[in-house]
Amino acid sequence: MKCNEFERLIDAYLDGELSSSLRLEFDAHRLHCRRCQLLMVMMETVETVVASDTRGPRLSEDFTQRLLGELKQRRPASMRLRPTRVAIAAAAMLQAAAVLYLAVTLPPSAPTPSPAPRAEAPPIVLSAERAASDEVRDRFAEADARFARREALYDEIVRRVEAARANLASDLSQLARYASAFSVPEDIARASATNPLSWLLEALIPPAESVEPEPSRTADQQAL
Amino acid sequence: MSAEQLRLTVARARRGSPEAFRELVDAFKDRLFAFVWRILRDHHEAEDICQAVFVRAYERLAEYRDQYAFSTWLFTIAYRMCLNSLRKRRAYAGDLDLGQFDGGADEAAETVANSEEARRLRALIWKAVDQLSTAQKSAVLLFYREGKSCQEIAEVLGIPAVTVKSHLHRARARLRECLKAELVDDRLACDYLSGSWGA
Repeated sequence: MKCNEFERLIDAYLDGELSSSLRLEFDAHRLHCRRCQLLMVMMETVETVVASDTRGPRLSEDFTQRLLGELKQRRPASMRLRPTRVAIAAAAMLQAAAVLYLAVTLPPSAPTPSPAPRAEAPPIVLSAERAASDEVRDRFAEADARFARREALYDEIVRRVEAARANLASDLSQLARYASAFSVPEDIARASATNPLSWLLEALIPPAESVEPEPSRTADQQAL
Repeated sequence: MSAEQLRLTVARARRGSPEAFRELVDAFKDRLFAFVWRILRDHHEAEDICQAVFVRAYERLAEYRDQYAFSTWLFTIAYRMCLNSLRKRRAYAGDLDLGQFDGGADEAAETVANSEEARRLRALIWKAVDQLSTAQKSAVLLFYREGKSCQEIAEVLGIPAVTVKSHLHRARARLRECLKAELVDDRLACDYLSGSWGA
């Protein structure tokens, strides 16, 4: 190991960061090189002086007393009122006050058995608030009545539509029966390949797919 | 004060106990003052900064987190206040560092030597330390005097741990350069400076 390499490794040596093999090389060089011995002594002396030399000016004797006197005029952060904490506390108090007010002013939902008549303890209600409450209740009752009338009207419309549909179906089926029973004069029947009233029958009678298939019927007849 | 005692004392102080905070002041005031004085080299200013550090710590004790050592937190506050003070000082006195002149007088007045050689050696070392930059000097003081790790020093100085290692390396190199000619006798110094040794 050369002196310049030794000097480069001094920091790592002082910080205990040298590997064991490199430290052995370092120590071997230090043993026979007086220049590097002095360099090491120099740095170790710096460490010793900086770490342990307590000479120098001292704090005044009354430093602690003066400091504590200064601190008496202050509060630690943990005990100081912070804006957010104040706001949260104020909000909580307002909420509690609102709940208490509602509990006092609103009438109970169910009468509670009480030995004393309620008339002896009149509720604290302002007349304007009572009037507003009555008006709101009336409006809700009106809205409920209107809704009930609309429901009844809708039911009537549905009932009438159903009746009209039933009547129409009945009329159509009667018309179909009348048409099927109607006799066509022979000359007209001869002139036409089909019954001239068949278009009316096709319109009134359900489509062909609901009718039994023709081949099977003919097959049955043949079997009979 | 053991680490557990310190933790309990800090917890009591955070709950508002003035006695607990007084114990903390007594435990750290001398170390803090030595650090601040080494940076500022002015007795009265260092004492004012120390008081301001403890006042700030008292007011913001709720912000302290246990993941850092309490001393690291205190030194962090102190270092920032020292930087502010140095900036103000430079603003008043241009680029002239008055602290070096004041500090030399203070130290000479306070130093009582065991022997002439030891006194001279100590004065040389502190003179060399004073020639370091503020960050290098703080890193050296916290590393050697307070036994802080590079990571803790990084927290105090507000820089990465890698930069702290770089500061320490440069500070040691600079100290070596400052002391080379002083710590050896004349003959050795001549040989050393001429480079006729080793290699």
